[in-house]
Amino acid sequence: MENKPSILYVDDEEINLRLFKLTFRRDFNIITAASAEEGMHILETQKIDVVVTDQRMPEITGVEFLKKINDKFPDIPPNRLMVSGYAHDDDIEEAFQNYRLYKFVQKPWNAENLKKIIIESIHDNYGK
Amino acid sequence: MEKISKTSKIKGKPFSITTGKITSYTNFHLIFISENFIHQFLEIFDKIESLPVLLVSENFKDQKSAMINLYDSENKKLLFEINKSNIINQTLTIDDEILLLGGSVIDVAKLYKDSQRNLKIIEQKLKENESKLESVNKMLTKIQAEIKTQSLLSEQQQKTIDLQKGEIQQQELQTENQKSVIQNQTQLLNQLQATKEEQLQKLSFAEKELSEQLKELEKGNIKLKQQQAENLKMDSILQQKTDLLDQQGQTINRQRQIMFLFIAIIVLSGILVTVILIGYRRNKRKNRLLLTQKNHIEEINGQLKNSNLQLQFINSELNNKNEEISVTLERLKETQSQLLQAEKMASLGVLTAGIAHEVNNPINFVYAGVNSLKKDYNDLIPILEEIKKLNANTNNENSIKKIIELKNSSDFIEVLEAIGQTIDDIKLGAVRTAEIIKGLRNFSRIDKEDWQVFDIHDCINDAIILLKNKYKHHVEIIRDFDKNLPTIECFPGKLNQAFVNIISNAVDAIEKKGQIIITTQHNSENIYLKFKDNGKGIPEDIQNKIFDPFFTTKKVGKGQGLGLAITYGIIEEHKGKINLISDIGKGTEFSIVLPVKQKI
Repeated sequence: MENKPSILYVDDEEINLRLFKLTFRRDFNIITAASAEEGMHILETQKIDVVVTDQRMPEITGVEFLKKINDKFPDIPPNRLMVSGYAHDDDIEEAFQNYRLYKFVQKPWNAENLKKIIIESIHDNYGK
Repeated sequence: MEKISKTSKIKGKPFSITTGKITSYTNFHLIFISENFIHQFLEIFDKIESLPVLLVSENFKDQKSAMINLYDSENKKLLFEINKSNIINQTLTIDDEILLLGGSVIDVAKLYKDSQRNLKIIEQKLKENESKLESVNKMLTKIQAEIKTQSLLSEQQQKTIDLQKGEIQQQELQTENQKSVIQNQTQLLNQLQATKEEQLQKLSFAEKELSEQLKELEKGNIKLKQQQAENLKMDSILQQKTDLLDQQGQTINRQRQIMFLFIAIIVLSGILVTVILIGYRRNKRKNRLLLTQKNHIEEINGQLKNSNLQLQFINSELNNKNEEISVTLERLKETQSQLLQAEKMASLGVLTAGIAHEVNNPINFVYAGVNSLKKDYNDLIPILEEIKKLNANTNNENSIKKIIELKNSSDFIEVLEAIGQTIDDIKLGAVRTAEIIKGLRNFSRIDKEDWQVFDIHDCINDAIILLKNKYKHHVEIIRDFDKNLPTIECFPGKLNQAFVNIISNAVDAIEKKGQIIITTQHNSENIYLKFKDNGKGIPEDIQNKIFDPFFTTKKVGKGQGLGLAITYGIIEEHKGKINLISDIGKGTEFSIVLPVKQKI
């Protein structure tokens, strides 16, 4: 367990959080948050290798969340991934340009593909 | 009497007597007419003609017609009177002895004389009456003549009256003419008087000047006289000169008179000239006025002709434009239907954002769930393989040991829990997806809809499901539904679209957190729907534009401004009404009335 990378998944849908955890629990150390605020709190308290976030959330959207992370931790990982059912192209483009968004994955996700992308992003980030 | 006839004889001759109605007169020698039948006497007298029949009457008053008349006396003695002439007339003779029996002869001559006298009197009376008649006739003719003459007179008088009326009318006309003439003349006179007065003033002025000049002349005269007095003392030459001077004074006087006359003539001619000039000017002015008026009328005529032509041109243009308009109208109708389609697609497009997310989330449950299940199953496979090897006939101790090992080495219980949870999640994902698809179904059938009897609550619920992703984070939707709301005749898909538009706008109006309260009520004829939000409200100046096509407050690309216009059209198509009340900062309430039954 100690060697597994830590992945933070943020989504307002409880079922998505649960399914994400159940799907990837064998490969990664999965930490979930039901909102961006909760996610920020986790980022402040523990080391996270990859952030995966939903885009459409109440209060703070995925892109806004990525901006906050970028503002607060400009020089350090984690790398960021986005998973969403739908997002406006402009918003996503902004996140790619400015907030170190690594990939955008459309819901419903393919578990194998998503796992591959997560590992890829960790490798890219740490140069492994 | 009949008895008497049987027993008696007259001069030895038997006789018979019959009584009753007389049928023939030839069989009788004597007819006795009793007092009771005396009124038939003259009739019988006529009937016997010249037959030798003696008529004996009883109490017959007409002595002239009687032959022998019996009459009653006071002493009951038989008395009778005889009219000889009548008896002789019947070729009968009278025995004079008969008179001895108590008879008397009627004096016929006296009777004749009396009757003659009466006749004469009657004739006289007749004559008198005739003369009276004549006089009356004369009077009548006179009166008639008088009436005629009077009627003639009256006719003449009528004629004369008519004539006089005509004359009076003519005179009235004349007087009116004269009046106008007089007015003109008085005006002229007034003007003349004015000019006269002016000239008089000028005259008096001239007179004053004259008198001044005269005064100066007199002064000159005085000086002359003084010089004369001085000169008297001088010699005769001077006297001659004085004579000459006198003469000169006389000529001066004459010249003065001439001057007087001359001035008068000048003044008069001046008056004449001014009068003529005034008249001439007036005529000229009138002519000028007439000319200008004529020109003006001609101008107006020309303008009228032009405007007529222009009108005709405009008419033809209008006709052309009408045709153009009808063509444009057709095109507009086409465009409208295209726009409706476009708006439907746009609504779908706007919804797609939400729907894609909304559909992809529950589908993700299924997708990720199945993935997770597969992994869990993979974890279980070794255990299941060992279970497969179990056999009732052999000793399964090894297999059981292995199963227990496997169970302990893997997080078996965790996997079992995960499988149960994942199956529930997959089921939830499937149910949610189905709901969304059901909501979309109505949207896809708008164009081909027929009237249906439908529960409006279902329509509203479908709209809410479609919008769930849009509102779920910040808006609470409260359904205050009438449990006995009747089903209504409607196009469910179209109403669904209308409700999606209204609720979507309400959600957009709520910037932070808010509520939308949807109320339904009914009476026997209508159902009443209210969509009340506590959003930012609609400014008063755009409240009346909100149903206009292409009116939008949203950013370019976020809406076409057709949502509420189409909603309005849909409610109108249902013969319903839609209204809104809005307060800035407090929220907006859309109220909709829909009839339960469509009277088609």
